[in-house]
Amino acid sequence: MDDATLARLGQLSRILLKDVERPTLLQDLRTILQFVDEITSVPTDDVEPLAHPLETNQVLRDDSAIDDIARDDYQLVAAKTLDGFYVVPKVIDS
Amino acid sequence: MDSIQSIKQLRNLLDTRQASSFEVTSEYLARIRRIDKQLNSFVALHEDSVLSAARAADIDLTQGRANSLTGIPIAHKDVFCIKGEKTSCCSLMLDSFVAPYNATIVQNLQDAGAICLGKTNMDEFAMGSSNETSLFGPVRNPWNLDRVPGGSSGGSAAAVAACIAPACTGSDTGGSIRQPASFCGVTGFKPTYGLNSRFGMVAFASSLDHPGTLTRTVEDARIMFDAMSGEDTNDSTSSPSPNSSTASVPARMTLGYPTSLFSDLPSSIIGALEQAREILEDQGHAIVEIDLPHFEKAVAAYYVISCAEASANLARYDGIRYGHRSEHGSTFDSVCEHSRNEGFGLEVKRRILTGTFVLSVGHYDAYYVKAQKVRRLIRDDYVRAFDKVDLILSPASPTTAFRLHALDREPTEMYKQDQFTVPVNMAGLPAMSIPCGFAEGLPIGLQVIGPHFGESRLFSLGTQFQNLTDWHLKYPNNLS
Repeated sequence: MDDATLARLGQLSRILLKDVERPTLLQDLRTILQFVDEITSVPTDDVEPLAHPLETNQVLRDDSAIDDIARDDYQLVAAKTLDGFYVVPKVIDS
Repeated sequence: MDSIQSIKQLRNLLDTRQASSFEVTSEYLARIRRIDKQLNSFVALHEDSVLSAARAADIDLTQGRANSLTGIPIAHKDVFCIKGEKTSCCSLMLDSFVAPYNATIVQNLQDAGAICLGKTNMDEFAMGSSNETSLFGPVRNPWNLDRVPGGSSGGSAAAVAACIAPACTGSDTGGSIRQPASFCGVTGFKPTYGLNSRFGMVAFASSLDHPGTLTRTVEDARIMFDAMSGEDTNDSTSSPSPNSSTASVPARMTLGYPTSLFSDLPSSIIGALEQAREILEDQGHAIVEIDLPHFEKAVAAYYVISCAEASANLARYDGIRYGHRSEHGSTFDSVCEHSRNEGFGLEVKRRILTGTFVLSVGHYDAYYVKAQKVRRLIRDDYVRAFDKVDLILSPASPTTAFRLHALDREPTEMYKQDQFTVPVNMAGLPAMSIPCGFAEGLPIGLQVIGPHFGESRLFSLGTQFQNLTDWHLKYPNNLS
């Protein structure tokens, strides 16, 4: 873990990391990764990964139309909307 | 009204008309106003709506339309959506978020008649073991105001311990109900993964998140569970409820006791655990040594998986559809990056960045897939143990409540606080923490772990223990 990796993680995470935060985060991430490295010593040949504690199958609802999307209610909490659309800053930086 | 009232006692007061729901609710609101200045356990009080609901409950009671929780005031952890009320997860990111719908467990409790006093404090996005990362400031432990209440459901645990709410909801991803229950001397319970719906609970790590409760007694935990659980089509990981709280239970059970895990514990915690063990042995339960060989790797594997899931779940906070939007930045990406920098606190950023690292190209197999393999080994350890025992005993936490800010710069030491609770969530097992003693005036919690869908065994043993002991009846008398 170095400055360049931290910068890349910030970019991937869409979090602007300010200069004042970087030394603390860098030190913390090094400590955390050293800590989680403990798992590398566990023999796991032929062990299948477990993603869900009960290993149940994904439940799918019936393929039928529903009409319970209250768009107006959901958009009340948006920063900016117009005529039912979310208003976003420009996507392409000139 | 006495200071300590369980749901069961309140039910009796209301049903026999010794008190009205309005009177009971008014008393709790008065206690909150008087006592919570010292604790900071509530982040929102719903005074008008709860008193209106109490009046309506009194009419239902008079007309014989009472359900199991009619007129009982409870509080919800600020991780659960309540329609029309702010649900902030104690984060600046959601400080202006008003929920457009009810979480399923909120709706279920409401349908059973419960009325809501307000929202309780928590670690930001439920990430923490001390309730110190909240936007609204730390919660203090009612037993000693210089100590933390545990986390992340610290507000709920402190409120129940201080008798300013008879019961609260909580959420437990790595121990966030059981560890604060242990630190505050109350009963903390979470069922098998999937029995309580996660719909409307702000997601942290979806394969590990368990809604549950903080109550004064095991009987109350059962009453709450019966009301709030059930299959939910809005949660794709919801389990069909096999009525697990009432399944038959053998009178004498075999209890697993993993002694090899206790060697580094303080003598006070070992002493309380041994005393609890003897009480249960005297009732005819057999104690059997068990081995959980991958236990010690669980916290490391948990932090890989939970951070990975958190980094994916918290990607939704872009400042566009809801949540904090920064005034800085001119493009979509830069507004998003500024919003996330400003909206998230340090611990949340640490976990998102860790999760992003373990999911990134070149590290995915070595960390994320590896941790999932370790998860299977941990779960299989429990499955094997439950072939020969009915329940497993352990402490809920390796320490009693520590001092505020003691672990501020020690993230991994903070993570190790959850060493006895994390493996249980990796396996999705039901578990509870019940008070079993004190050390230097601070409560100690006994953790009881059950097999999948073994809730009735937990309730049976926990109730029996509380019928034989009085640790759960003690309350802090230092609060004015």
